[in-house]
Amino acid sequence: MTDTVERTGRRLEARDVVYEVDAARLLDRVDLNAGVGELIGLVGPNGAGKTTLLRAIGGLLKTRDGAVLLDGDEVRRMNTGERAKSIAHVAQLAPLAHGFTALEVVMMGRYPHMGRLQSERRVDREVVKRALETTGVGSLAGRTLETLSGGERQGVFVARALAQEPRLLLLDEPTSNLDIRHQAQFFHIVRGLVDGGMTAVAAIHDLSLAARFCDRLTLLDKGVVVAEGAPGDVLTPENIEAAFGVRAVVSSDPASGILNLSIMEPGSDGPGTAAGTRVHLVCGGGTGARLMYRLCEAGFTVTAGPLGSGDTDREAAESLGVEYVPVQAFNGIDDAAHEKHMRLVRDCHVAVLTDVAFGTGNLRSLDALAEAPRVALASLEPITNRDFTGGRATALFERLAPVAAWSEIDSLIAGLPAIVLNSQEIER
Amino acid sequence: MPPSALPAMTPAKHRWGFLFQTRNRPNSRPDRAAGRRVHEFPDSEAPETLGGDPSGNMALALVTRLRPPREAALGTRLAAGAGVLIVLLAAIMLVALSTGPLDIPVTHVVAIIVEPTGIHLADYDRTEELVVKQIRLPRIVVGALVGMALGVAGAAMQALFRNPLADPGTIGVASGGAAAAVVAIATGASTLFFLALPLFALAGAIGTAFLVYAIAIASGRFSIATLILAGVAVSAFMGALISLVIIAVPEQGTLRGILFWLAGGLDSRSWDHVWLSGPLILIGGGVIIAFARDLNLLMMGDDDAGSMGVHVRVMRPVLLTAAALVTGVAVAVSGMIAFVGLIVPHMLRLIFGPDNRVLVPLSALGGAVFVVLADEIARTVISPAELRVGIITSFIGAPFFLFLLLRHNRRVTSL
Repeated sequence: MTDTVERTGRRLEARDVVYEVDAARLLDRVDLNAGVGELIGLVGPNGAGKTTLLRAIGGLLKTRDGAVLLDGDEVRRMNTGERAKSIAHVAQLAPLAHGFTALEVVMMGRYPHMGRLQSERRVDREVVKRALETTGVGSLAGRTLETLSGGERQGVFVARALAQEPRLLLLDEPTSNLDIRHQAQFFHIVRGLVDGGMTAVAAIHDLSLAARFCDRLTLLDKGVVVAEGAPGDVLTPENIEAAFGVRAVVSSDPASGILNLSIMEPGSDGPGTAAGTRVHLVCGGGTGARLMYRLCEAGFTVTAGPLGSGDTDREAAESLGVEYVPVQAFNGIDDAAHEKHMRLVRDCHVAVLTDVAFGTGNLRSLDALAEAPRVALASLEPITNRDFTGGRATALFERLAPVAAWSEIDSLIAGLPAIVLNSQEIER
Repeated sequence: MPPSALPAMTPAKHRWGFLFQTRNRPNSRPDRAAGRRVHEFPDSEAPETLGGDPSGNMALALVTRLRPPREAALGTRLAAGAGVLIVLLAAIMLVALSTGPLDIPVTHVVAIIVEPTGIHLADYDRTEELVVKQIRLPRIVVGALVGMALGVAGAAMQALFRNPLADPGTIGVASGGAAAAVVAIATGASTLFFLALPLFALAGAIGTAFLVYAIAIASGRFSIATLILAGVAVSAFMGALISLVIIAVPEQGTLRGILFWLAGGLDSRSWDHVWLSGPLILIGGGVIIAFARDLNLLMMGDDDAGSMGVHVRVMRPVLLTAAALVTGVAVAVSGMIAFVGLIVPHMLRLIFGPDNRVLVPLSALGGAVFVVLADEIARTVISPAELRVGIITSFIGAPFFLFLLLRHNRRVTSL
């Protein structure tokens, strides 16, 4: 589709782009470069300026400052026809097509190549046919857009863009209405075009998709470029938290190398309270797994006490990246493990004791709790019911001075920051 | 047969494949496979041939079945539609020229028309020549011009506003022209000089269009919704002004003149009206036809149109001005002839599809056919008295359009 210019170097170069509406700065000195055969992903939260930047690159906006160069030519200086032959834009909201067939819509992409009152030539029909086939909607040519599914319609609009025979393809959240299969299919098609020499810039909501298909990413927030570079360098938990205000776990699939992102739900009581609070869990036998997950999700920094191999709580700690004290099952807590546990207990702001049962093997973990700055209970069971040490656990338990006790996880998560805050004030 | 647009993808069997609603597409319902806005035939009357329409309405059968295939090249569709409409228009014109209080045989009408070329076909008397040339022909030509103007403007407005309810009056042109005319009649200004009434109406129409456009862009950010709402508001104001004048006018004769004018009519139109309206309507209509391609792209939204190479900021005012101009001229010479601009493009869209390169020129012809036919009915139905043509267009046009709409009820929601 594209005139495969085998040139190294920059095809698109946007420098210091500034766009303002009523004194609100929607783009603030944005830079963006794209080479021949590159797919650049624009990521960022809603309202970050992704759509605005695409429109600015496409010459659809009157920017206040800066320049957008396509192969060295300033886009704003091109006349509309020249621009339409060089840059194609697939908008976020597919327009209502008012009864046009797919073929008719795609043929509209030939507009800049055709003279006024000229009817379509053989070359136009061939380009359109190829475009329809490239995006896999050739068999739908005669159907009106209303009768097509979202994915098929998206294919038609990309085909229309290809019919313009552009050097640069701008895609504004092209897959936001598609299911995961069609999302992947769509990006495979775009990837194919890009590998064939097209340059593309796509605003993409789904960070995993962006990481998987794009050569480089630009992370925007409030009209400013927060980070730019290879997907792995841009999509760090820090950058994601800075731009989106959410905590994310970024891992890379060991087999495929594909980046995996899972977003933690933001805490109900807002950032700043849970974040920075270190909670140490003394648990085991599955009594702490759920609590551990919810604490992480709410933004607490969580550590855990000694956990034997094969323990459900240990698996939970592993998957959540929670630091814990690994011990051999049934072998008791040796001195080294106990030392480590003591350190974690001392470092936390609050230690939480679950319904874990105590035998001689894990008694030392209860002993270590005495070192905690404050202790809270997340338990219903009286200690006597889970004391299998002939009263020694009960005696250790009696020495603790719990500042609070909760039977429900929700109230615990809501209450924890407060008790930490209160006692900090007292200390001062 | 001209090459269909993409033969490999759209296996139309033969040129008249559209007569058969099915396509070579297994496992899908024909209407869905064809994906057309055009009508479906109920199973009971699957059409094998042109004949046998149970409704017995041959005109409708002709209109709905002589539908060129959508995959036919643009030129084919346009030529087919234009051919049918031109023949229809010529036939109706001939009939209209021969009917009236004085019956003139069609042969005489043809003879009178071709006489200036030096060909003598038949003998006719002087009265017949006068009636045809000085009374009926100018009236019919004005009717055709008005119909063209309303059809073209209606199609353009529907595309520009991306709204199926848009018509030539959407931005207040018709009501503005009417208000100016009514005020001119009531104050007697309409008799001040030759062609005063149409000129007042034209000034009112164009003035209102500019007022509405100025209001819409005054907000700083232009939007179609603002334009439509400004048009609605100004139209309401003009409507109130008309009502006020009607109530305030003391004299019966003047009142009758106003009401006559409001219903729209083509009586006693002369060649002067043709010379006044013809050039402006042809220029304005020509501009819209020349930019029909841009109308297609503008229907996709401003950003899409802009990125495909349409100069939106130039194109939209140009097209709006042209549509307002032809509407204003039509209102000036014929009063308010309702409904033409709304339904003619819709009817043709049902048959020929939404492509404005086909739709706009055919709407010009279709509008002409519709108005000339309505005027013929208005002149003859209670002869020797006359009905107003504006009454006929709504009275016959509305039920006919509703009938079409119900037949094609799957596509009511979209343009």
